[in-house]
Amino acid sequence: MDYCVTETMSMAGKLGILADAAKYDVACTSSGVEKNGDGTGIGNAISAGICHSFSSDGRCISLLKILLTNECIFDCKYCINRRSNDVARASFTPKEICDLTIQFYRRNYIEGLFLSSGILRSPDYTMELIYQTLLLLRTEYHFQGYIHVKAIPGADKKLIYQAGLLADRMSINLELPTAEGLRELAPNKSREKILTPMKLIRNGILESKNEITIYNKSRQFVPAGQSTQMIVGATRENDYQIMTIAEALYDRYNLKRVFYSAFVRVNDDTSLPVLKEGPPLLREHRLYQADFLLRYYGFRTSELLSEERPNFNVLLDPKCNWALGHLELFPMEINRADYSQLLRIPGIGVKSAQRIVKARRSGNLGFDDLKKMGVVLKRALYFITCNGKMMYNTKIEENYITRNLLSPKELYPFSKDSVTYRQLNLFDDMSDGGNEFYMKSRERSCMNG
Amino acid sequence: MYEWIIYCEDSLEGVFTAIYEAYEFKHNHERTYIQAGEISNFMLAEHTRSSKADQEKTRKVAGTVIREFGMDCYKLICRALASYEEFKADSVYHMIVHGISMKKRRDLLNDLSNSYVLNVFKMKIEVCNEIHHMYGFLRFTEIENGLLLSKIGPKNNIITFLAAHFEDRFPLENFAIYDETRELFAIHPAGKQFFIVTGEKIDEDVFNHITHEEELYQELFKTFWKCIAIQGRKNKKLQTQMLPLRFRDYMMEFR
Repeated sequence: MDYCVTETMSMAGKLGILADAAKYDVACTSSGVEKNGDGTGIGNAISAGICHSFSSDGRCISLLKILLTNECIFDCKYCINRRSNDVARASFTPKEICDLTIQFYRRNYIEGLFLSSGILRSPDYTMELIYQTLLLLRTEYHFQGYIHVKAIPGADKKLIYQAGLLADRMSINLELPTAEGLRELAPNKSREKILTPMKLIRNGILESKNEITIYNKSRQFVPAGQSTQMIVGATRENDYQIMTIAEALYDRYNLKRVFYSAFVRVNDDTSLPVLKEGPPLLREHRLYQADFLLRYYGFRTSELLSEERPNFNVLLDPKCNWALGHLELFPMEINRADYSQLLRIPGIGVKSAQRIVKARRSGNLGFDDLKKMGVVLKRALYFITCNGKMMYNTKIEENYITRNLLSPKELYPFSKDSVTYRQLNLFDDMSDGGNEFYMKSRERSCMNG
Repeated sequence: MYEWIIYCEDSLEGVFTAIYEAYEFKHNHERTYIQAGEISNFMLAEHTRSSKADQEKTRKVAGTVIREFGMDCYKLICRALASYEEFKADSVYHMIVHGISMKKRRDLLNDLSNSYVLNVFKMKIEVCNEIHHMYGFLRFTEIENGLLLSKIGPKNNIITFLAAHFEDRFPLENFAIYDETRELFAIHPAGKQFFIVTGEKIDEDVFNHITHEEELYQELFKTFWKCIAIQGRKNKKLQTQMLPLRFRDYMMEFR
């Protein structure tokens, strides 16, 4: 991209540089908080989140995702904005960011602001600037919409806390799954520097929830929770290590989401791998699938992967893979299996499991009923019985089922230029009634963005 | 062949009144059909009648639905009746008839094996999905007098749901949403409640008189929109799946 760097760069020039520099950040969701406007300002938020547009890579555009500045004193090998790169640099003033946010928001282009930044001068200085921006936006511009803000590793506790009181979601990128990887590729960051603010935010959220009387809702600390992201495929970690870390983050740090970002090689650096087939999108997809199994289906990492089998099956999704390894549990009787068992059947999701539990109170269910409830029978039929009968005369045998599940379409869900997620179907309820599920399906459909 | 066909106005009041009258005149429910709005396919019936929306009758039917089947069911019906499907009024009518015959009436919504319930359920989901899409895909343009104006062409009649959402979001803005296919306006004066105007056409010329600022922000958003895409992950198919083409005619960044 050609940008003429002059003393007074145009707004379009700045926006071009600073949006371009922010695009590798994955999280763009605007979910997790429900608040109505109070009639005196501008903005509200709905818990399912709203996607406003989709860019040509199919990722959703929900928030105005920009950097405050792409100048940086750090030298992380994988990052386009590292100190040693010769790229055009630009910075926004807090007022420019506020104007842009409000004017985009009024026209319904965006759902809110996602503000990240390179490290300008020092972590504290940068965090201070971010805080000033949020303060201006919330108090002078009376913006009540969604704000996602990055905590800068190494910044002062107080600054992070103050910013957290103004934001809806906060995140600190874990960047690389292991400490060795971090040492190798991000020499200025350390595990400790990243985990300290993460702990701080977790504690802040817990405290804020435990406050018995919160009179003023807007003063709640990071109400939409905390998220993080890991780069996948830049270092040698296997899926087992990545999922173990994700699980620990959910358990110990109460994270709302962990995002996985397929490594895109933007810098020519000898320490970075060369990926001939492009970014490892299939691997990223499998990690997201497993992530949903952890968060909504009651699975543990140790059930899906092990030291001996540290990577996901390329051909089968993690749930199918698990079921094939545990055929002794199947077939399950739909009319008797309890809710947590239903969730483990391939082809049955959270919503359909809930519907089954409700509907079977008033009578026995058959295969036709399951179809109406949104069960994917072509997957489920090998694993279930209705009233003691299987749908067809199928064998319960690993090789046989695997062969049948791998129809040509299943085999190549990911040809190189056509990554498709599942079709949005009738049972993807987006209504306010089905918020929880909706949120899930929504986040899943835009899990990359 | 139906014994009765009742024609009614295409609105919640119209449909509820027709349902009330089907009971009032003791029709045989199995041989009665309720049609909301105009029909494209004429059906034969022994008798036809048109009913006129009546507030009192609407209130009674709504009361019965809420009392017998719960508030969730009432809300579901409200959304389903915004659907573009021709059979919507009849499905709602027969769903209520089915519900009244049930022992546990609160379980009506779980009974998806009944085709009328399933129909209503499907319509509601389609309507809600479109509402949610439009929350994001609707675009406002600031015209010369500072009014934020938006033109939409949704499949279902969802303008009231949209106006309510944006009223909460922009309480201090003057905005108007125009449904092109139904010639409906939702108008929101700053600080007041929105209202619906029917049967007025928009003067297309207003979109040519936009402010300089408006032009600037349109260009800025287009810049942002282009720059945020990662070239290495380009995927038009996924983009089309997430953002179907029918929405794009109304979206500034695709023009």
